[in-house]
Amino acid sequence: MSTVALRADGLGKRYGKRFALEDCTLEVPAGRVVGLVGPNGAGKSTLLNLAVGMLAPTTGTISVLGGEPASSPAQLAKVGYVAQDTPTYAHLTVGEHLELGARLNPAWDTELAERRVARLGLSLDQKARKLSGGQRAQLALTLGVAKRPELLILDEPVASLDPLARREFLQDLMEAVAEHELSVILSSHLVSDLERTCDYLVVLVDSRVRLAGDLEDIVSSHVRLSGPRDAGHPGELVTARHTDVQSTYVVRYSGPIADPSWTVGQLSLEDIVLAYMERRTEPAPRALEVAR
Amino acid sequence: MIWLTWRQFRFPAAVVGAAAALLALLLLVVGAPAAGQQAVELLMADKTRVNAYTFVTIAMLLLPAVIGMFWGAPLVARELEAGTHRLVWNQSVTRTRWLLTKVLLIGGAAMAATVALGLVLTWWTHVIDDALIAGADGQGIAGQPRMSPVLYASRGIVPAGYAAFAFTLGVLLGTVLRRTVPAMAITAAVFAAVQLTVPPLIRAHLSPVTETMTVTGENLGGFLLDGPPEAGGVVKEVRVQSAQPGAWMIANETVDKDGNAVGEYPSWLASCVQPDPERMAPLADPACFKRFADLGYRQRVVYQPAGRYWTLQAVETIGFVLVSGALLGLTFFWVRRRVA
Repeated sequence: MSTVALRADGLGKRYGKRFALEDCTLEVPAGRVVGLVGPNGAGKSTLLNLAVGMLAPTTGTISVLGGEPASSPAQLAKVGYVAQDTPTYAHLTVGEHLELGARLNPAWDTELAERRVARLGLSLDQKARKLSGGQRAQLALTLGVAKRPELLILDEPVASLDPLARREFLQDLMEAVAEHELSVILSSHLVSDLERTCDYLVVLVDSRVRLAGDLEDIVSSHVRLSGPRDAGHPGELVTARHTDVQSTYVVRYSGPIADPSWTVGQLSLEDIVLAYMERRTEPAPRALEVAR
Repeated sequence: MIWLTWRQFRFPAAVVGAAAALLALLLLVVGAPAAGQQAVELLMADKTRVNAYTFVTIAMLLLPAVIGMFWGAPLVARELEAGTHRLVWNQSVTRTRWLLTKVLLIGGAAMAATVALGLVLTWWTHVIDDALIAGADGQGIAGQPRMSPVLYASRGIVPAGYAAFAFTLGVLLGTVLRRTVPAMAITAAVFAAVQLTVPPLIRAHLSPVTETMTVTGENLGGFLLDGPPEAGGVVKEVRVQSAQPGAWMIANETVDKDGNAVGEYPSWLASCVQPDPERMAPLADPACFKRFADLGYRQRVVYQPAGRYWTLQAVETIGFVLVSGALLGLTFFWVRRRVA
């Protein structure tokens, strides 16, 4: 088993002139539940689609569990994918979806699939188009899990679900992860979805990776500092906010802060992620405009 | 993959399959026309058979387009529209194998269905074809040789080639356009254009027979004036009778002594043919046509003879299968590289 779930090196995907994902260098360990968070349009789906081989990269390379995405049946078998909006065949029944999974996957776990469907209360001869959004998501997850992959990738699986269905789906996912020792990469634009489920986080903003690391490390290594204006700050600056007399910084810094003029505040994960989303791209393109 | 292909394909397969079976049944129930020297006359007098023959022939010309629209265009486009390609391409089957299985099974079914029906129609019409090749004359569809462009693509083995082409065209357009309905419409339009242009642009040029002959009173087959000669009418067109029954006549035109097609005939030619009150048929003046020939005018006839029917059918079928293979290659490229 590979120790790296996903490795990207200078990875980029361009549509026309616009990069949906740019210069992405990233290493995600295996055996973790990885949350991929970022605002809408940040490139989350693009990164996941590159990881499952639905897209081919414009620049750089990506490998998943040590292999090129979707390059062979063996590679496909190792990676499960629950796509955005959890597509299913409207005219096929739940039972036929399981049949599809059984016929197209050598490692298919029939018993697991049937047990899950029974527990979810889905009738085998129900057409997929008659299912609710939550049930359809559960069916798609069942297909992904019963395939018995090493890595399960889920692209905004709960985005269209109501809060209750959302919670049930994520709980259910966590049970499957615990039971089958899956690595998981899960994307969402809501930190609250990921906070409960993930132990590793990747923040993607404006088609670039802003932050990646262990969830606990991220929370413990960021602080909010308030103090006299323009007094400077320790660590790496994430955001700064100034009033006439006071500056407030969010910094990445885990050392002790002895200076009594600073007020040190703890940040929740959501605060940290929002701070990274707030931080705009460096004004590098301006120089070009002046030159012109 | 075979299970999934069948599960998704069984409804369109049943619809088209049932329609094809009904057409075959119609021919069987009506029964093949009677053989013999009078076959063509008997068929012309038999309204039921003429209608059945016309109906099945038109259906056969439309069948490949229907297959391209309803079997080919939705094959990838519907998956892309519903997003289910993201489900099925992430099972443990590469998308190349997914596409290959679907295309081979459904394309194979398309070719099998059309060639079966084409051969049933060939069996049904063979006495008429034999009679026409033996020199019989007839009006309407009964008088059309199977080499003529209107009938050619409706029977024999070539419907399989047209079906393969329409199907792969539909699959490619559906893949590139990513929308089922526009892909269906463009498939139909492109297929119709190909169906209309292949006879004049390709089949007519597959080494046809060219003959140049002198026009005489005996072999004169058509003489078109734009008015009575007394009122100053001039000859617009001269044709000779086909010495090749059952052939597809591609050109039948007068050329001058330099071999160029004639635009304007000499004005005196108009009075070379006079109505014959006794025989109720025009009477040609031999001396007049001798003068015409002496001036170097000849008739050039270009045709595909009846005997080349199966050779041409085989060539055209293989040609379409090769084009289909190229379209399929493009589809594979597109599905692997361009589609997300």
